[in-house]
Amino acid sequence: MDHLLVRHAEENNKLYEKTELISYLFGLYFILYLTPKVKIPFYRTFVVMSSIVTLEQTIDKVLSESQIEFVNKIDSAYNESLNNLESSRSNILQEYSKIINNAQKQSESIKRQIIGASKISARNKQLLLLESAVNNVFVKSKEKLYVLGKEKGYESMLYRTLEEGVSAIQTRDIIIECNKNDKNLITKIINDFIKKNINYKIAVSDGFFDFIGGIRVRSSDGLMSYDGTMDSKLERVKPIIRKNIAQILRGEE
Amino acid sequence: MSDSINIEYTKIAEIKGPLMIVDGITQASFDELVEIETPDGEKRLGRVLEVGHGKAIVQVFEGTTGLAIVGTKAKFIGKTMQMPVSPEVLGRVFDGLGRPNDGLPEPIADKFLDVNGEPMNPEQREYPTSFIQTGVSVIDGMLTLVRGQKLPIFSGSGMPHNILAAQIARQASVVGTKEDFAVVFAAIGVQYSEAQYFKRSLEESGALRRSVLFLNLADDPAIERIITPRVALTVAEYLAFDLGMHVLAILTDMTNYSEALREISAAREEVPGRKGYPGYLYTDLANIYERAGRLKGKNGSVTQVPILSMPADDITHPIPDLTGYITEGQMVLGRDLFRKGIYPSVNVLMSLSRLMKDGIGEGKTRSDHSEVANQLYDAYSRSQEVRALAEIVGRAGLTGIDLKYLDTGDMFENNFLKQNLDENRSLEETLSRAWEILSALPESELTKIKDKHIKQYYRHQNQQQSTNVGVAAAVSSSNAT
Amino acid sequence: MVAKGRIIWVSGPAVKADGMSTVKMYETVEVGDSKLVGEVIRLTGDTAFIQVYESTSGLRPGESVTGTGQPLSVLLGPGIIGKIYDGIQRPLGEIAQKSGSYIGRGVHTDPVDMKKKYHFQPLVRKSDSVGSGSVIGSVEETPLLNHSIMVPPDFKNGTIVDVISEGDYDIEQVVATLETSDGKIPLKMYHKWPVRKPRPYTERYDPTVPLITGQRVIDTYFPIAKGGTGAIPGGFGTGKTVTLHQIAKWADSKVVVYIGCGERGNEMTEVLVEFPHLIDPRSNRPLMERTVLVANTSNMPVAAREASIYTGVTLAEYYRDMGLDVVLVADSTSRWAEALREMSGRLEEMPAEEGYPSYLASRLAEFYERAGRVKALGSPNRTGSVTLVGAVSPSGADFTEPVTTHTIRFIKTFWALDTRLAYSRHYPSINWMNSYSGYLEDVSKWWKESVSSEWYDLRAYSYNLLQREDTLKEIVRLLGPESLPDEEKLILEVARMIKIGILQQNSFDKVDTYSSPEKQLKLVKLIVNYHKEAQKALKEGITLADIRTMPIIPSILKAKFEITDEDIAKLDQLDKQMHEQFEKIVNQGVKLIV
Repeated sequence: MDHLLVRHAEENNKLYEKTELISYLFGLYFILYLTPKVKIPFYRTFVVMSSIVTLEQTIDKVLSESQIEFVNKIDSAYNESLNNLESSRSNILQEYSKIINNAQKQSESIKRQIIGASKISARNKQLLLLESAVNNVFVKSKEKLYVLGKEKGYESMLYRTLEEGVSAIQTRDIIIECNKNDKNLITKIINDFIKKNINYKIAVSDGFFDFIGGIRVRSSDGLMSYDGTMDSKLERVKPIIRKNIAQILRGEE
Repeated sequence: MSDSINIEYTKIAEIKGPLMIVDGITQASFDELVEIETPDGEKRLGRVLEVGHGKAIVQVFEGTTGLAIVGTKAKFIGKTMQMPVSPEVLGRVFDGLGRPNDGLPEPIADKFLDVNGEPMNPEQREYPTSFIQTGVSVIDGMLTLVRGQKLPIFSGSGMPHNILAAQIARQASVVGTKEDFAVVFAAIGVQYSEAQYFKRSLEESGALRRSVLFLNLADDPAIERIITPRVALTVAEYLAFDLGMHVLAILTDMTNYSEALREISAAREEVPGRKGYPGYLYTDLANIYERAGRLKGKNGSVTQVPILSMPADDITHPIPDLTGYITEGQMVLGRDLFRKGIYPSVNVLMSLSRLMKDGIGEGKTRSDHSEVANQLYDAYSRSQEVRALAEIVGRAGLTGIDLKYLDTGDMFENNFLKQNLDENRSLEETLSRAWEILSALPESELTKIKDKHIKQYYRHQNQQQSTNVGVAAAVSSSNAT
Repeated sequence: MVAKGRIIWVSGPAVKADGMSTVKMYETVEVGDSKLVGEVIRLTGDTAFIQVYESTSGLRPGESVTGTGQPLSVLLGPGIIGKIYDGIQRPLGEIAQKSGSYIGRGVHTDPVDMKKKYHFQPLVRKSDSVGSGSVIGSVEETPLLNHSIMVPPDFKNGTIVDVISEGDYDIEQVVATLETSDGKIPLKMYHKWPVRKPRPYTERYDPTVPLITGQRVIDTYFPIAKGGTGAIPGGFGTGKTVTLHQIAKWADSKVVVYIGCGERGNEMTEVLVEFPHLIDPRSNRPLMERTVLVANTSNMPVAAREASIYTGVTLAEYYRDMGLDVVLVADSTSRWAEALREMSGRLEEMPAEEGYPSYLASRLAEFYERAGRVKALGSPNRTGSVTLVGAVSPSGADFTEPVTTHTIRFIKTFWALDTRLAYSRHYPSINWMNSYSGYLEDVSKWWKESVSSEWYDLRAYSYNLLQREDTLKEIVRLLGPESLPDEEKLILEVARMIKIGILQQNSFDKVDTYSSPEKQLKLVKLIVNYHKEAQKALKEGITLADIRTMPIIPSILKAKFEITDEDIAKLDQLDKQMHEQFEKIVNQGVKLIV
């Protein structure tokens, strides 16, 4: 069939100017192109010969097919571009909100960080201040103890410390260490002790130490010593006293 | 034990390894704290391990380097080691023995607590049942953590255990409350950079002011590590049971702890158990791990996430082995997944949360949670079997259902397990991802899920999707052959 | 004369004291100023080695040690059930009242409430002659349990010269007076018994009745008999504790003694929280009314862990002597062995394998030997049993380590837990190829008489399928599943159904947690029938694919949790439906071929 049609067309071409038809068809082609969806039976008016009718039908068919194709293509291209637009818009929106979110997240985290850090540093400064105040109290108390601590109770306290020390290190040959001010008092106490407990050899150390008060009981071989100084006692209770001082300084009590 | 006894000894009989033996002892008690002064006047701390026949064996935390037979003084304090605690410890950094490490003074103590703690009376424990949402799918979905649980991370060298722990610490929240977790972090012989990562992570999330850090770094004295987890847990217990806070205690790395214990045991010439670790390693570790939980009549809780690196990735090594017998499950990181670039690289099949069953379900998470978790385990385990089989016989030797399981395994790793460092998934999202994976299997394969839940959540694939899956399977199978 | 000495050495739970020449071996002593409880475990000259049951932190040489003249004993009388004790029978509830959330030291309390009144019903009359161990009266300890008051087994035979009338009394009340050749002896509602000495009985019987636990893999495949012994070894995470909890919950015994020996604190709490709410399927009463807990968690003093096993088994024997079936579960015997090892190390004894003492095997044997089904002492005739089930926690899940290998020698049922099964979430992860039961033949008579004559054959048929699957799997591993003929592929399929539908059991599911013997049997029968029908269908030319995708399969696999014990008839319907579906596909298939 195709061959026949082609031959018909070739024959018809001889009847009309070849170029004329082509240019005419191109014109139609453009009209068609420019006015989609409008179907005009354009060349029917010129054509009279029956053989031409076949050609007309063929062209008609080809053109209508291509018309549909074009229409579809245009539609899809249009839709595609719409879709593209839509999707890029939503992408942009997503990106935008992502950026905003991230920025928000970041600012949230920076905010948290800054608030956290400043709260901590404020608290830490407070702790340092408190500590220096507490230490101050300690230093002053020590000074006062050095002066005031030698009242009535002091002698019996020293005696008790001596007893504890002697029993703790379990030797009979003992040296006592003390500060310069206490030497006479200590000698007296040692004499008291030896009167009650025979077979002990107790001497006061030659050197003097800068404790606030109290004594250190040492075995004469130097292998063991019992720390009964007020300094060490103060050091032991320091954590507990610190709490009390801090409470007073903070105005909690 | 009277507090007034305060005796200093200078007769040192022997110094070996981390131990010092003091002679001529008249008054000393087991477990007593010892202040040591080196001939150079440096002060150190120690603890009595054995006392009798006029001798005391003292373990020196800072090591015995620089100690001498002559000129070393040992003062027996008359009490066991104690940690001063108060609300001020929050936001502070301490060393491995609990001494300030941040240039600030020692906390003004509310209380002094024995660092060894005391065993909780099991009758007084409150059974842990409150779900902790970590925002990590694999944990929330399949290894649920509950308040008061001890759930370790078993890792290997170079794997991201600390990153995971930091993510848990940042994201952990108790569903239904506004309460935040307090974080107690004990670094036991870890590198500076790892400790720093953790600190920074807490700083960035603003959590540092509800955190307490104890740092014994890789170059700090090894024997100190015996004490580090103990002081950390003492503070954790105080925050939880005295102040009513929910505490997350992270101890890393317990392998370093155990090695310190081994060093002491070797120095004491004890009969060793497996791999040279002392026979009492189990009991010793239990004394640390059991300091987690909740107590009747107290608001707070101590949840422990200890981290340990398995030597040579060997889970039968005594440290992970004994830990697993004490803790309430384990999260095991897998080398294969780590190499594949999957974070968190949790090998779910080797992992387990024993308390999960009581923290999930209707009223706590969702009624299908436990069935979904079971089915996911089952599906992933079968996918791994099929994967192994496929390596031998090729995809062509597999049946249709096997191929489906193979795909399920990949989906599980990529869509469920894998997630970002800062990704905080809701439980709904986690379960929804789980159902997406399960819905790739035929309904008849879901033998662990009750019919009513299948009706409610199973997503029937439409034609389009199922043919796509079929095509994909066909394409990849042709590639395989 | 009571010994009074002084501490000369302290190292952890081990203490040496001198001046102890009059103390006896295994005598309990009070150690130090805070009177910690200890037990003498070695004597050399006048030096005693003491294991201390409490933390020795702060103990110093020079403090005193005082003997009590008594070996470590437990108090046996009403009030024990429902309690939680530590390893030396101190009630943890009462300790909490004295020392708060943490276990304090040197706290002394009575094991039972001495003031509580029980309704005593005398069962003997004046001038009755009674032997040692005879029942003289009874009280209701819990609504589930009538507690027989017995003449202590170490008393001589004699005559009742006085008995109190029925009424409410506390347990210190003298309820009867016995006249023996030693004179008149007052009998109270309680007596004491040393934990390391097995309680005597008249005669030992063979165990022939299965202990029904409601766990399919146990009851159907690897049963244990009442009065038998069993061990559950397994690495961590394999489900030892869950399996033991299941046995403690559902076993058809009258009394359950649960020993938490060196295990997790929360596990004991779980039992304490859960058991009062769980209802015994046979009596409809809370399970706590038949349970007693002995808890010595891993962080509690290690010496008391050693004692906890003996404390528990003595309590179990006491209830056995009343003619009751008792189950004792011990979690875990490995931790107990480690306690032995630690004390042995501190005593500087020569170690055997892996540092364990050489007497590990004999201690294990002594423990498991205290199981049994016995005729109790005295009158009336009573048969009771103690079933012992011990968990073993082998290091590195290696079954060749000393505790596992020695335990295997002394037990008859072996439930081997398998790490691989646990990893694939097959629970209970009891490996069906490595486990065994020495009671199979003994209990088959009971199943035949009480459940069905088919039991033995059905079990064998289904177990055979599992065995064949095991060998076929090797082939599949090498050549892939497609290399097998259809008939063998079918075996793989049916074995998978047995694994999912029978062996796997979810203890956290309300229905699945317990299966009655009838349900177990019907489930096995269902799958065995499926295999038989499928074989027939294959012969008729039906493809395996059609058989595999039968819509009935998911229903068969879910029957274990979708069908309750009350609706057990539904299993018969399911069986019928299955036969019908086979008929249908066979008919269709045959039509197609025609």
